[in-house]
Amino acid sequence: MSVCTLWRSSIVKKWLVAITGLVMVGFLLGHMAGNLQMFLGRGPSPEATKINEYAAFLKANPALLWGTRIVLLFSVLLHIVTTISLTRQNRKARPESYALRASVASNLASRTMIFGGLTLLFYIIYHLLHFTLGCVHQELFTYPDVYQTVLSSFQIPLISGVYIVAQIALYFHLVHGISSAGETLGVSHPRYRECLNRIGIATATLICGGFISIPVGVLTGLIS
Amino acid sequence: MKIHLKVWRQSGPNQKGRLEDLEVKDVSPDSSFLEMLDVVNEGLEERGKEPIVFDHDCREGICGACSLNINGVPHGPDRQTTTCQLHMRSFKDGDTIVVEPFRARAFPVIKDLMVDRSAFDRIIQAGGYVSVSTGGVPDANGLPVAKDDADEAFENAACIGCGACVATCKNASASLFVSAKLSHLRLLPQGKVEAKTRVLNMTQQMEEEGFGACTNTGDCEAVCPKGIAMKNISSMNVDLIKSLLQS
Amino acid sequence: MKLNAKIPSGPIQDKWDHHRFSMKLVNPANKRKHKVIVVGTGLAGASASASMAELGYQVETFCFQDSPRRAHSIAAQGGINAAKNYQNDGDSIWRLFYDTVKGGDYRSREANVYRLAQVSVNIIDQCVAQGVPFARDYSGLLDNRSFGGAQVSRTFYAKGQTGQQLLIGAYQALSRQIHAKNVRMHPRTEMLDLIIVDGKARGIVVRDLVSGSISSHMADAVVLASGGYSNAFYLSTNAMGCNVTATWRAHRKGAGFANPCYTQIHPTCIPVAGEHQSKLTLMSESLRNDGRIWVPKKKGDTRKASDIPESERDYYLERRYPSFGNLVPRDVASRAAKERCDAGYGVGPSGLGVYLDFAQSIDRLGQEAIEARYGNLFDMYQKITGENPYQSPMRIFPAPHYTMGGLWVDYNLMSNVEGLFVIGEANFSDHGANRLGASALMQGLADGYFVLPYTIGDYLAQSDLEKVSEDHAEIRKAEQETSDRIKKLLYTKGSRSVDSFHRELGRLMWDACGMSRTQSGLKEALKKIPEIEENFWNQVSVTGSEGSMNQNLEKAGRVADFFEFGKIMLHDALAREESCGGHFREEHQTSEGEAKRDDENFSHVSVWEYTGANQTPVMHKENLEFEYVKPTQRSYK
Repeated sequence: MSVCTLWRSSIVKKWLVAITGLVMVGFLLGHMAGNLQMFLGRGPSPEATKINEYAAFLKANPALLWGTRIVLLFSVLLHIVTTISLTRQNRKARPESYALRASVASNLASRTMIFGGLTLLFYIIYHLLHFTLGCVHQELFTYPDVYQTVLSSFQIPLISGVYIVAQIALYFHLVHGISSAGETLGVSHPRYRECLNRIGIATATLICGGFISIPVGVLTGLIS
Repeated sequence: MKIHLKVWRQSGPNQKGRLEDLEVKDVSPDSSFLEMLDVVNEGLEERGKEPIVFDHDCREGICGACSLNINGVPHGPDRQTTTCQLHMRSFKDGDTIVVEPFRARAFPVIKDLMVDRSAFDRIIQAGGYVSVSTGGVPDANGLPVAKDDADEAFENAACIGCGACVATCKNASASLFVSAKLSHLRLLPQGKVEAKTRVLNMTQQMEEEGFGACTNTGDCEAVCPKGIAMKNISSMNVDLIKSLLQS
Repeated sequence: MKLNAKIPSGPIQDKWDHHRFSMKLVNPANKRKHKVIVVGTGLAGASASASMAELGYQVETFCFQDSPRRAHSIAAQGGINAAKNYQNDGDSIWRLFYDTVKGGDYRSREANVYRLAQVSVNIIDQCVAQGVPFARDYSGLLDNRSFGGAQVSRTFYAKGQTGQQLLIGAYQALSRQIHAKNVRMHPRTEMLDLIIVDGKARGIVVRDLVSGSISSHMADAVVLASGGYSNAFYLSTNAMGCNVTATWRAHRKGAGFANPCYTQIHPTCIPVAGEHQSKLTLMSESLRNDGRIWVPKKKGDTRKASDIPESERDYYLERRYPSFGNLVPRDVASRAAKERCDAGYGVGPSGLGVYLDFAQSIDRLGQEAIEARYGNLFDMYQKITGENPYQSPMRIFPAPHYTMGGLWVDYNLMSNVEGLFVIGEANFSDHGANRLGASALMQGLADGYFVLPYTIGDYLAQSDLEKVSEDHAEIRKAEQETSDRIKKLLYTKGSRSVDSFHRELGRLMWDACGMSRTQSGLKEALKKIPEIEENFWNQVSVTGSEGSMNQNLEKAGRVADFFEFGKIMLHDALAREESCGGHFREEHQTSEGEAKRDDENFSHVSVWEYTGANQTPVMHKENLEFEYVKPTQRSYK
């Protein structure tokens, strides 16, 4: 079975999307948990601040850090390439659209995955430029004091707003994405599918709620 | 009843189509949707105009010939009902009804509301059968089949091949149709023997016909006149990956 | 016309075995050199195409539907009979044979029926091997039910969709052969004429329904599996596309038409709702197992069914036939309903309906049990009528459903035209004057899977079949005639719709040649048909062009053939001065209103020969002999 043959199968591509998606969900859970250390506050010095210690720990373990980064980068790229390929196939499958089309069971989240995904792609680029590379908002970048960078960034309502909106987009992407990945990977019984939908909503709420709590915490002064 | 129809008219596969407005008066609420179109057509014929072309045959919801996207939904507003079983009492006096053909690249329009669904036949030809020839088979009761399996196989075999799943899917995916046939045969011991090659061959043909991919939106299951379940699609996905890993 | 039934000699139980041995075989290497044309892809056509292709013949198969899977066999609900005796209730090949001959009112050919009962057993094995999901019980073994008044449980079924499941099985077998390139499938292609060269059927003229082009296809034999002619009545349970064209065109070319007056009127159909009605919907006969049929005792009673007290209800089947009650055969049940309605006791807006009441069964067994048995039928009834049959009784009325008559065939299923084979509902052979429930599927598959593949080999092995050149005069002639006819329809440019003529013809046929027939009515109708037919050819509006998809034109051609065909149906009904099975002549009934057969004068098959347009057809007889099942008066009292 050659790679070309496999690539021609939309089902194989769906599996790739599902698996890479779930890898990213796993990462997001870890990332979110790490970020919540913001709520542990500032320590006596920047070095003794919990979240900065965490950042330093990651830096000190390049295998862990770069391992995660490579897996993640690979997942993101594969996720994007396959979904774009599938979307092109899907667009081609209906060259003439209906004058009137009504949905019976599908919801907005499931019909707009590609737009949600593209929004998130731009957001991720911005996010990396902001917090990882420090290319945008250079004046706020206070590496290695991560705590300070986050704090001063989110004190600007516009930046907080961008992050919160992005998290809402992420929420919708995950709600359909998680249950859809489960279905693609073989959760088939209607009872488990119902369960899967709930897991999707719960995970999406946890991840996005966790992330949103940080700019909200900063804006409300809970984190200072 | 009075109905305002907007019907897709297209004189041939390569011609441009458009929605035509037609007023239909004195529609009996007891007539079926297709009988309402019959009345429209008789009127057109009497005036020397070409009647609206649409596929239909048994008119009792089993042959799968009737299609039509009615007000944006394949087979119209009633659930688990084919167009031929849809009755005008499901509409209100004065309603505007938009009627379009099933749309997909794999279902090219032949004329007006009639489309070519032979892609489905080719998918079945690629492997949707048990490779048994006439004669030389064991006694029918030689191989017991658990009642649950037989019942589930039947539920999936009930697919009438109408193509509503493709028509409603935002991606024009044929996953529900293909997976129903795969499940029907896989659940029976007679069909299980070839299950691995069948899933490879049928899904490959499905791709070649130009259908889209499934994104699990659930519209197909909701419009299927026979209530074929989406869980078949999950089973198909797993079976295909297993087959690929083993081949 | 020479009619030789070619029934093999010897005891009936050995005829088929001996015959199979004595038939010539085609060398496996030579099979590929033989081409066979099959018209129709219902149970008979699909199973025959697949089986012959498996044997190695080149098969070309045609159907007018967009896919072979849509043929009208798909609509059969109840089940398929087979003498498996899985229930240990005393069934056997002999009993199925006996029941079928008796049920056919002693107007079928014994040898054919015995063979049908014999191969019925193989059909179930074959279908199960194909993956047909028959109903099973908790042991995992096949379930059976008693059906259509049979005293044994020999009916195999798949919920209310047995025909669909069997057809999908045959369609899948056919698909496998299409994939293997042993069958060339031509969907959306309609046969419009038969080509006969040197006295042998060698090809057909077809119209590609999408492009409109006319072409010819040649072969060594032609098999017609094009179904029945119930749509001569306009309103029937047949699909809209069902037509007589293929068999009628073959008849015009010399094939004898046997017993056209034998039509089956199914007792449990949903009554006509109005003028707009395009077809009638059958409700499975199995409903009569738990439903009781009644009409009010008072004429023209307009009260709601639930308001009519028990004492004012006439359970007329139970009253007239105490031992079989609601389970009397179809012809008897239909006529009894008509009798009550004609006498003014009918229910519903048109007065053409009787109640089929489940209230007592629901009380006794609970709604759940009834739902499990008939849920899909109840849903269908509600969808069509908008009434809930769990709360108020169903209204039913008989409707044309199946035609026992068809092209005459010998024991080998070959018509009197050499090389023209006819199978399934399109032939006349196995059901006599009345078909039993669950036997149509059995016959279609028996012919296609297990009879024709053998007998056609015998013909091919013995016949001298020279290649016919592509520009043979007969081909050109047939193509020219076909295209002239189409032009004539298109150039009429009248202002009456095709359907309006079909309705007019149908009403006439139903009144004169429906559930009961009289000499005067039949004669009157024979006078009227030519008038309507003439109007048709002068006033019909066929729009569009011949060179494209044109459903109007297709329909017009079929209706034109129904006009011609209707006449031999009337002639046949007129000539058969007796009542038997589905043919009821009011002049021939007992004092109690039961059908009165005349075995002395009418124990024969009436085979009609075409003698030209507007000529009176000539009747030939094939005498029927009953060696094993002695004709008696059918009694269900």
